[in-house]
Amino acid sequence: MSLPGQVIPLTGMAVTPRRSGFRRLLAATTFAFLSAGCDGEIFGGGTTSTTPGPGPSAPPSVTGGPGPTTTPPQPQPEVLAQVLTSGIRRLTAAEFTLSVRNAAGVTLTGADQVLIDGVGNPFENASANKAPSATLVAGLLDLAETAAAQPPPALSCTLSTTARDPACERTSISAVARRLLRRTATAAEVQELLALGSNARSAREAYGLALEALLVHPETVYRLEVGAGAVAGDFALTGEEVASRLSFLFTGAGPSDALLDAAERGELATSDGVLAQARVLLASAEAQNQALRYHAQLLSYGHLPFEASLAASARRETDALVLSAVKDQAPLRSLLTASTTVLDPAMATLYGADVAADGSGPTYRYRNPLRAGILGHASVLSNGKKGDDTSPTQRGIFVLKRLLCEEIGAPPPGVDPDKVPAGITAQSCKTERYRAHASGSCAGCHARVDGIGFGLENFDTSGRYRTAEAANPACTITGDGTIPPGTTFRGPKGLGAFIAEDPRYGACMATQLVRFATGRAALDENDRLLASNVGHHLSKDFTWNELLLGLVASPAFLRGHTP
Amino acid sequence: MKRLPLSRRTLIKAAGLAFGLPPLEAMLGATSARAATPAPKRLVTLWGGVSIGCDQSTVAANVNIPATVGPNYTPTGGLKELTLQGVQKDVAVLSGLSIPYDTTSPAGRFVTDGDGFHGSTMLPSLAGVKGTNSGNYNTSGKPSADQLFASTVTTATKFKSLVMSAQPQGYGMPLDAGRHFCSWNLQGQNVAAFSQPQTLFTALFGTGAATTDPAAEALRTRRKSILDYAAGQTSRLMSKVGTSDQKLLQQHLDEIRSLEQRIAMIDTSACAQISPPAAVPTSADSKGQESNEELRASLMTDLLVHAFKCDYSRAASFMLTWMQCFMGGQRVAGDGLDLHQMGHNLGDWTRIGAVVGFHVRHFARLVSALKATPDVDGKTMLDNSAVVLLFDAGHGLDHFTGKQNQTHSSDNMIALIAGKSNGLRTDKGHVVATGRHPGQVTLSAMRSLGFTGALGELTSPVAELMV
Repeated sequence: MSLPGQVIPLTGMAVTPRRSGFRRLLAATTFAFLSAGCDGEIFGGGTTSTTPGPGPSAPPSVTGGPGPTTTPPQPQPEVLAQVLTSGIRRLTAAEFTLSVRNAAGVTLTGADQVLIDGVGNPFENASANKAPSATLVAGLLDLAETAAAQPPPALSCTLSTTARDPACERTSISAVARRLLRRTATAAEVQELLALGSNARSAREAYGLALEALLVHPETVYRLEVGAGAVAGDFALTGEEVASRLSFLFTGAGPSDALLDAAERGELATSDGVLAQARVLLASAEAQNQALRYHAQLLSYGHLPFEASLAASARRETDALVLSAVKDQAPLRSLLTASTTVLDPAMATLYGADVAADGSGPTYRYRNPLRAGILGHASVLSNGKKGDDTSPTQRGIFVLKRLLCEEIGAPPPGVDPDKVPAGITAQSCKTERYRAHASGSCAGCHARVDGIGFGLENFDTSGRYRTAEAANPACTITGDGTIPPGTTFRGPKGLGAFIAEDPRYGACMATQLVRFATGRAALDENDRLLASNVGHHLSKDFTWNELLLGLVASPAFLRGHTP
Repeated sequence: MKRLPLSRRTLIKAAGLAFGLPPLEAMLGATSARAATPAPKRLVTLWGGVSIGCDQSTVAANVNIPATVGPNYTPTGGLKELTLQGVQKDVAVLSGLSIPYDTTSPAGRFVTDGDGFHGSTMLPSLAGVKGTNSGNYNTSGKPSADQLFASTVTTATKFKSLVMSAQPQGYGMPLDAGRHFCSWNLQGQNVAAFSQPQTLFTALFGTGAATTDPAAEALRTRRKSILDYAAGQTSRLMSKVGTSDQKLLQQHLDEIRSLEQRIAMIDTSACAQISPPAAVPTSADSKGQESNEELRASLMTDLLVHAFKCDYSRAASFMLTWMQCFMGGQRVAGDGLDLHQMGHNLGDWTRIGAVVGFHVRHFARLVSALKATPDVDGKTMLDNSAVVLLFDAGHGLDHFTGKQNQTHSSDNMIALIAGKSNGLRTDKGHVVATGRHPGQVTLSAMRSLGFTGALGELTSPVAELMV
């Protein structure tokens, strides 16, 4: 099955590898976690590490060590203040499809019309409005039947299609149950699954019935964290629950056998154990695909409003840039400033004279001095439309909200944002139309956002360069942008360069990651504190891996909270 | 040749349903034997998430409000679809309707911030109460007409109410805006809609195979077993989680139980033996701004009529387009703008008429199909049903900005109503019902079907519609 965001083989990109910085941060975080009780610990202390580790300059160990031998200490209040709320979350369609594929080796189609996610804000795993429904339950049953009808993957034994095989049935069902439930099923639970197939004529049929049941099992469909028992308040997550948090965040699917094994060995009871497993995950293709999915949601280019083949081309261009930064462990901000890009012929045609081939491969240099980085991609420039044209206001809001995490209020009372200002006609230039925003109650917000959008006006909603408005050729576009209080720029290159140097960028990326990790668009107090801590300890040249590791390194990542 | 009890026109219409329905018994001359059987009453509410006007023109020029009144009015704009579908005489068009813009009048709109218009009219129209706009998420805590009617008037059916949406996605509108709901249960909770005809088909008819088919029977048994398992696991889990998560799991469990009941209600007639429609892909157009809503609406209409025929449900809430609809307008109106923007910025009555016409067409198509389908009492289904079409917005004063001729207006709204139960006066053509509430039209439909209570805060129907 082809899934959105799958890794595409690519050639080199114009992003700067920075493995040394990555090591520095890892060393710093590792040192912090190994220094239980020290003043000034980056996440407020309370680490549960029990084994001495290497010094601060040593690279972290990739292989997991032995499990803890002591009872974890009670976390300090600073840690508890950052513990994430553990409400039930339904898997997204993509998470469900991937998890089922990984667990049972079957391909589901149409899960997006059963587990309906819609457009996120910005992430599709936002849990709001994902209440159970008749569509969900009936659709899950359909998906389960489809999955059960497919041949099972290679298992440790072969399921006969003509005869019963109790031993093989038990082994196979136990294995798939563990992967789908993301914990080892109890003997009673396995027995219950086996009983469903008591009248089956073959081992294959019995397995199919168990798989069907598991796919409608609430623990397959929903993620939940309850710790060792049903409690309210703060609690330590079980190893399997930490494995799930880690795996869904890093790969977009449930944990693998290896990760569950590590959890059962107790290796996820400590922050350094989590970091070790996190580094293993980061090396996987699944984690790279997840990075692509994450960025596609962060910058809303997952569902492009282009003709299908052009949409695929545009998506490939941006995926190539993100993948390059992730694989090369380049500073994440290099996404904003990249001077080359990877294009297929369709995109090269779209950009025209803006780009020139850099050799015989698909890599192109930007010739247009206004274009650079991800903000210059057609995929990202498709955002911020109003009608068929760009909206400087919407583009400004998009940039400020997504990359700098600025809050933009709703229009004030008495203002209809959809209305064309008085005196404006179809022949009016856009600058004239937006001049109405310069005074009155609208001015405060529009002064923050419109200037950013005007700086991108030389690029239409398809990402093509233009010098005049399409509807009014007499209206010249200057492309002069402003960022309060007094920065001027032109084009995606200027804007990208500004954001790459803005200290709000790192903090915002930490906030967005916490949104993604929690499935909450509106963060609560604990979420914000955790995001703040993660952002605070990022270097200017932080990488994607460092961002992720910074989050899971927190002792708070090992705990849950039930309101 | 055997004489058909239905007219040739009716027969052609019935045969025109989009997929292979079995022959209707009325076509085979079986109606006389059933004449004594009382027929169930059925209610359908349809929703169009658009305004009937545009910001660039006056109310007086609005083509979707007929210039003439009475039974022989001349349909214009989107209302021409009534004529094209042959149901103009079966439908009353009420214009001049209003929803008060204050918090104290019965079923008034909420008064809130600058983005408060959209989503403010559905709950007054369908539940008779104003919603709350907390977090841009519309809730009322009260049931919508379909659920209320199903709970108080009808007997238990497979589906209490069929909740459907021809628009499967928001096209940029996030789900947390709550624009995709059109039904609320007795506890006031959102009821999610079916948006894929194929899924709706499966939920209604399963495989479509005969109940006497051993394979179909085996599948039912298997499904019951799987669902029992899921229900048991969900119950078990509830004891392990906090209160808010228990509520969600309870909702999940309720849906499982409901599906179990539907599967258990084995239909002994042949009516469930129909062919499933093919899946309709989302984002079927070249720009990802439409999902062939035209086809979805047609298929869902056919499924709804067939579900009525099988008596799988007696109520439905059918959202043709989401509130503040961002669906692209190319297929519907030949314009690249989305439907919401067309109302605000297009200023083209031909296309605005086409937008309204899309909704009227599917309303009329449903009315036509009900009219063409014989009921168990020997009449037509339309004789025992009431069907209402309502819209997001009218055309007039935007109370918020104080400007006239606006689409952000709950004045000069229109509603379409069809059905003949208890003498519902749908033969009056165009009725100017100045100042009456669109929710009163919904209540009129309910009253014609035997409902005696209030719809939220609305207690009286539109008098002109009642005998």
